[in-house]
Amino acid sequence: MGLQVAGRQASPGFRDSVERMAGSSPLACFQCGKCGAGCPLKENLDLTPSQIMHLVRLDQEEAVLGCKSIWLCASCETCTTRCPQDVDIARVMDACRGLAFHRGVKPGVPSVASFYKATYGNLKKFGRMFEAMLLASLKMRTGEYTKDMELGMDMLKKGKLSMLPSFARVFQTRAIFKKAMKIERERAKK
Amino acid sequence: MRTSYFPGCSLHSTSGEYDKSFRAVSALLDVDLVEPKKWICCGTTPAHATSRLLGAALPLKNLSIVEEEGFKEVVVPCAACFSRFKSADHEARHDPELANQVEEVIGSRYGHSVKVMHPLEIFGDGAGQVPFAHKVTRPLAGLKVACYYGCLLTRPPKVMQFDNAEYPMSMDRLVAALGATPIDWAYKVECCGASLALTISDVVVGLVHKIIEDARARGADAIAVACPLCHVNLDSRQKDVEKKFGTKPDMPVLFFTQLMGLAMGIEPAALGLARHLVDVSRLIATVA
Repeated sequence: MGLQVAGRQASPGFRDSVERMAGSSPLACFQCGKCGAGCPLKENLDLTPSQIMHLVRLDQEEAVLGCKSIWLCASCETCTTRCPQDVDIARVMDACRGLAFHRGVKPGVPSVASFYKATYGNLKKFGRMFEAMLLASLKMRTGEYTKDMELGMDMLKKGKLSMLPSFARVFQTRAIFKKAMKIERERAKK
Repeated sequence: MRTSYFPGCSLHSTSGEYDKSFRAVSALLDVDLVEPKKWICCGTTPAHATSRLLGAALPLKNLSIVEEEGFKEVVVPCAACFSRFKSADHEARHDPELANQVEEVIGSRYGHSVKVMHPLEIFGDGAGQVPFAHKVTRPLAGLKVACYYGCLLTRPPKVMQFDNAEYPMSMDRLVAALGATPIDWAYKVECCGASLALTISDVVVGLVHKIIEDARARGADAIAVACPLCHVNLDSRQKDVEKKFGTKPDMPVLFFTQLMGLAMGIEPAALGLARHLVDVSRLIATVA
């Protein structure tokens, strides 16, 4: 798992974009690696959080926005909690994901991006999460039709999956999404 | 006590038993729960993961509704909603530009007058804001419980201001006040993988395996949780753990409110205990 920056062109302004999206900066990072040591997903990452902090500093846009790690982050906040330099690493991960998302970069873990899109669609339709519809729409997006079928049946039997949506402030929710995402897309522009 | 109560999407569906047991216990303790009128989803991970603004706007819309309804506090049992509410409140307080944009997006200015509380905070160790020790009629004697806090109740501590981030004890104290024995273990704040269960579930199965194995190795009879995502992952992935690791977890996973209900003599059916995938009837028989 090397840094792989050698020979790659830096994208000036990338760090500024990340800081703008995150409302926080990775500059104070002194590469202690505590974030990666405590990360529950560490075995699955292609770049450790401290490598990402460093790559952001070096304006290595392509390496960061194309990696898997930013999509695997479970937002458990362990890294942010333990950072001795007070870097809000989880927010920087969010910012990188947001930049990849709004700039249309191919996501390193497509199913996670599909889950986000399915959730947005769900909330804009109902104002609340309608889980049965969310699962169906996620399957349509990922093509993994048989994934967790047995589990789904078990949950149905236990009455855990409601078959009826509950609606709340649908037009207001839709307007919140529309306005917020418009501002965010502007912010994500180079 | 009369308080605003934000259930969130999970407590109205997959984790209906958390809502049911929290309501049953609250009724017994004369806590009057009032849902905000037409509350909306807090946006959960997908909102903050791609937009800090959207991640703040959805919770603050809900908090504005609570504020308009005249409540000074809102109780939020779902750890994910609780975390989103507190984070949005914190970020908007400390970032005026974000606060202005949220106002533009939701069409009103939130006044930050509502205190976001978790049920663990209002119940405390039995002698807190809402005392419950006097209602414990069937102490859970002999029951060893691993209290699992997961990620979002305590982290990040700067925002959550909830107990100790690395080794919290509030749920342990509550469980002890119910007559049970909380155990000392290593995974109480480890992550279960949360919503990755829907996408890369294999990773979640590995994390669930580690958590349950530690609880079992230390003699726990059950795991107590305070988060719908923790619950669904720990309770529903045990078959997958069995397939992948060849172990037989068979570990009952209960919401702490269900344990409270059992200790207070509330009927299991009124606590939604039959909704779990891992059977809890043996455990109920032990404590009854």
